Amino acid sequence: MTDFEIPAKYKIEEVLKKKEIIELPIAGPHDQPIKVNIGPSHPAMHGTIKMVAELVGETIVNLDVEPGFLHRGMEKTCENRTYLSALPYTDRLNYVSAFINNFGYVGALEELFGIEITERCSWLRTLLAEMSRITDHYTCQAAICSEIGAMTPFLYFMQARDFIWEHFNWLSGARQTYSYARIGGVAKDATKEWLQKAKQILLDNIPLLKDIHGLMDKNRIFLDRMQGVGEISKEDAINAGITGPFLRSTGVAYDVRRAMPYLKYDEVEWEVPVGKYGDNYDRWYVRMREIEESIKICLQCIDKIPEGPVNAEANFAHLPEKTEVYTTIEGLINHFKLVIDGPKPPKGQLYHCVEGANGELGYYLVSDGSGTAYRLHVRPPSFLIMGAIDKIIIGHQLADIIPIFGTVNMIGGECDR
Amino acid sequence: MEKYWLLKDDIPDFFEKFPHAGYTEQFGQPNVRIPKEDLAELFDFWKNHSKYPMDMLLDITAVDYLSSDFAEKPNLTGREEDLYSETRFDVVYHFYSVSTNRRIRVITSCGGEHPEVLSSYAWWKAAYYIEREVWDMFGIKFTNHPELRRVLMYEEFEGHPLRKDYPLMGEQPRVKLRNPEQEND
Repeated sequence: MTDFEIPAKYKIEEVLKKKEIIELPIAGPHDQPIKVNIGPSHPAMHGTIKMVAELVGETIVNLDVEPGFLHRGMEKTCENRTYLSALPYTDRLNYVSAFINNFGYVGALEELFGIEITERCSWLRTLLAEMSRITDHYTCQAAICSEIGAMTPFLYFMQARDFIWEHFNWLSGARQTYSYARIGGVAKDATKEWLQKAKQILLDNIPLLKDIHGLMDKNRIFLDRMQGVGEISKEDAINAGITGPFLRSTGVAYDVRRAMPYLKYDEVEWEVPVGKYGDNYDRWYVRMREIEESIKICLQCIDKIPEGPVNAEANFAHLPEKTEVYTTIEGLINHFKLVIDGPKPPKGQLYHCVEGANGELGYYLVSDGSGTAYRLHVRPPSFLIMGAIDKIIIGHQLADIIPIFGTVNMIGGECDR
Repeated sequence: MEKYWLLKDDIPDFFEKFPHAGYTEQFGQPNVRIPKEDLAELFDFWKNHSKYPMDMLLDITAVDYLSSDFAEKPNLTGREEDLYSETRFDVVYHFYSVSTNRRIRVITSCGGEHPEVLSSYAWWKAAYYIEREVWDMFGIKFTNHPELRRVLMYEEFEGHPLRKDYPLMGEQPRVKLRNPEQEND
């Protein structure tokens, strides 16, 4: 078996040879490429990334992307905390749609423990995850608009996003980092009034989307910056491990919610929007369509959410009710053991994935039977896109970096962990 | 229940070709374990598989089993001599077949003073960043990688932070001030 020879086309020399050589435009007195540092302190780099571009004229001939400025050692920290106290760290991965990260993490733990969550909890989580996705897409779209000079849609989006975040505040007590999920349930049940108001907020978003479409879709300045810029083919995108709206804009209808349904995504009606050319404009449009689909899912969730308990019967992993803790000795011991030792899952390893706002968000867990994860690895969608972004940008002009990078929606917390 | 993972019965041709491959199943997910010498053949096998072509490399990560007492790793209990054990690290690959919606996990072991495995960059471009991350965090070298350098930490960082013997409160030496004038040449 060991005498297997790597086929010639996979030899590294051959692979590197294929690297496209970009013809340099006719240069004036400076025929040497100039190095330009962009970021990490640059408004369009979203605060946490550095790009070193080599320019000839205004054309980028080489690009080096350096992430890591927001690396906080989240994985190492989680290896030294109990499962319950590692939960707030998952909020800080993608802080624009923290609910999805939360539910992905506890989803992995529930699979590990073998807990089945209740109907109400499942519907509630679907609703919250989709509302989170709306806010995440709003943020991304708003950033694109403002970066290429359109201030009105930016303010529209930000206002709409804040209505939803304030609404989350009512439910969980925080605008962005909720730590709301619990193993086998959620921290607090949603009231009827909360659901009604959520419905109203979502319905208010529909005319907003119409306004944005009217402002941007046929705007000549916008089209010039977006159409035909930053194209990537289907095969290249799959090969580079790109997922999420980025991949769907190239025409591949891969969505974890559809491909591997979790929560209640197989019981609601919705579509997977796909693009055609994989350029900036397609990515913009796929996100716009996804917001519509998310609103659709949310409205169905609010209608279908049943009454009943929101937490599963799983005292070995779920903190008991406070009334029990203060009145019974069993409850007190239960609480104490869970806080000090942590819940103890069986040994083994598993990979659990959810559709994050930017792509497949995976949690790879190795458990050694103690209350602490032996290894917790997060598969960050933006990180893989960042690995491929230089190939997309090379050959474009310096100013094109801004819209291309904007449509990626890189979130530093998730990319660098 | 629908199937999303390739289990043993789905891929008899794999076990025909790799008779030494180990196989366990946990939580409905397969753990295929192969020696690292077979990696090149494995990449080629899965990339060009006739039924389930794995066109996407989802993720690569590693696990340091230095101080564990797993049944699969009976010899490692955190002793000094285990530092250079040949089975200290597991490199874990997750593959996904977009066309058939199936996943598989492949695990291989490495270790020694300078652990190294073959890079999968030639087959999947996705490996470019994630292999750099594994090198950065675990110090596992990927031969054949075009540009293996740190990605999340800075170049002057000493050690590899996700190894189990890296101290939780470890301190790093001060980085010398860079001279940008010399660097630009």
